[in-house]
Amino acid sequence: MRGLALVILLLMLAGCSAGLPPLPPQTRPDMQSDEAGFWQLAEKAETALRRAPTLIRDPDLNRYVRDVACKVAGPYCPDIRVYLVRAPGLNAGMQANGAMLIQSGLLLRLRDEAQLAAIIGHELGHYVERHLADKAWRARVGSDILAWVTVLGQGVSLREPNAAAALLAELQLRAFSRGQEQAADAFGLQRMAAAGYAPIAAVEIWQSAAVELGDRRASVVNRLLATHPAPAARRDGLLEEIAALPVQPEARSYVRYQAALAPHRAAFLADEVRLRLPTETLRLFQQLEEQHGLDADLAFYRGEVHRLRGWQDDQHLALRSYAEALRLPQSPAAAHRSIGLISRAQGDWQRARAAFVRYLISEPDAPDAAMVRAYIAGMTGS
Amino acid sequence: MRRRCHFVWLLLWAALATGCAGDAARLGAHLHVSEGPPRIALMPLDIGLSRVSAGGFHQPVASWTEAAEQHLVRALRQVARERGLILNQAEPALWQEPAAHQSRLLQGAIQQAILLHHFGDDRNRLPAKNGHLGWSMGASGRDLRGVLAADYALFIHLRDSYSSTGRRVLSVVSTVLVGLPLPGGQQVGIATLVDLRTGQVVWARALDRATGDLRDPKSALETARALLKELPQ
Repeated sequence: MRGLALVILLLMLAGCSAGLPPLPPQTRPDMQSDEAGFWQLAEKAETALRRAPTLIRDPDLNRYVRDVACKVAGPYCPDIRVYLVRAPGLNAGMQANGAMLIQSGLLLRLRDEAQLAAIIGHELGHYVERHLADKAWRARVGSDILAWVTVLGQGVSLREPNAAAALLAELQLRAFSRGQEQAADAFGLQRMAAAGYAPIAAVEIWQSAAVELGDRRASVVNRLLATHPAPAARRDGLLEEIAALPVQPEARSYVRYQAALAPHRAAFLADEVRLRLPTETLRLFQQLEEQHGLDADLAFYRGEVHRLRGWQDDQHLALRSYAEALRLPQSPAAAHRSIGLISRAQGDWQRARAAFVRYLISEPDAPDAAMVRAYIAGMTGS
Repeated sequence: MRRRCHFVWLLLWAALATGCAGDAARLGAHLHVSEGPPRIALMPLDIGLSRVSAGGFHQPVASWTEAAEQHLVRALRQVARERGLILNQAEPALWQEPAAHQSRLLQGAIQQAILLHHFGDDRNRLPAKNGHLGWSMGASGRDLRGVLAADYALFIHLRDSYSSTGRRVLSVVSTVLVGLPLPGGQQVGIATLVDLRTGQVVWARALDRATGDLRDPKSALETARALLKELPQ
């Protein structure tokens, strides 16, 4: 009976939120409000972030992203600070106070400026709709109800722990979080379309993510526990929103986006290799090849994924990728070193020596030059 | 607010909280002096105040934290003055330098290690330390010396929480029904003093108590005294 009352109480909470209206441009929350507490924490984190070694400081790339952000944010432009953080993987985030984080892995995955606009619009949605304060309010009210029910329940000798109620409260919070993501998707779509970008770009991001993560269907449990909707669900939600848009602008700005990314692309590819998720990374590289064609860097890093995975065919596949890389313009000298490493492991010392020598000729001052020379010396014995 | 709470509540708390008010460790009772009184640089405070909801959620409170930073700086300087020490706030502009920021992060990590391995549970003690306060910032501590123009640096990390009305009411109900009060607000943190000649942590004091307040100047002075207790002179 009491359990039922609890379930009803928690279900009533399901539709609740703190009911904060959208934050007007150039507005700070009242210093006495709960929201101000989150802003203060975010400001301290932002101060640290500004000095973080992982921050990408290249002024050109920062200016470019900043310009796109301002176009999408419109009146909110002065409220948003974009931080580009060097980290592999598809992620971006918004702090309570308007500090937006975009991971380099995301920049690598995006095809064009319209897709970047979609991401910025989504994160802006979290800020304007004050999702963080709202979610914290929900978490607090949920835990308050749970605490009251637990204490009252114990007092009248209801002995069993309220584990089920705690789980229900947590699942509700996750569902609430997924709802916020969908709301931010819808908000972002409106903003990017208003800025003239083709809204279909937002859908493509989730299509690509679904391909990269593989087609395995998430289990029911995983779907209930997720804080974000599955890529396929986001894609479908966005398609519905697009159909309802009054205008369908078409700007993509592919060339401009790729030109801004170009100086950093090789480093971002290398970061993905370091994730050591070979299956996903190979799928990502396959997608990049389909979108932009094969270039020397992409071929080389694909080879690196194979070399580091080291499954049955991988040495062979890696060597084939390095050969492709070396046939393409601006091939990285490191391809020679990798050929050398594989040949050395295979006992083909002649080929290994030749490759290492080529590497040292191209990169005489490489940080690992001494080690490579030691490899060569070690193989001259017989 | 915490001190005006229910009498039974206080009694129970006294029973629960004995022995966990604070703990200090130091390498020596005296600071070395080159000329004049020892100069200590007070590093930017790492403090945060929050309100505990009925369910135990810590809601950060910006206005409290902002006021507490000012109260505590003033109180710490007063306590130092009383002990014949010179405690000056490190120039905020200094922290714009990445190296200075890194040294602060490093000391933060050291403080967590001291809390865990020196003041913490017995099973977390590091056998090789043998109860000795053996932590150092190494060269980055020495680098700070020139920048700060001080002999020592004082680092403070403090989290201070206060029961909301809901938490207090629920605690009373819990005491009546179950016989157990809920933990309320707490003052938890650590202060460390670093010898800038060596980078060595020469003194550390951990606070973990259900009393203390930073929201007004007078209470902040009590906290400052509690924090700097047994600071070498």
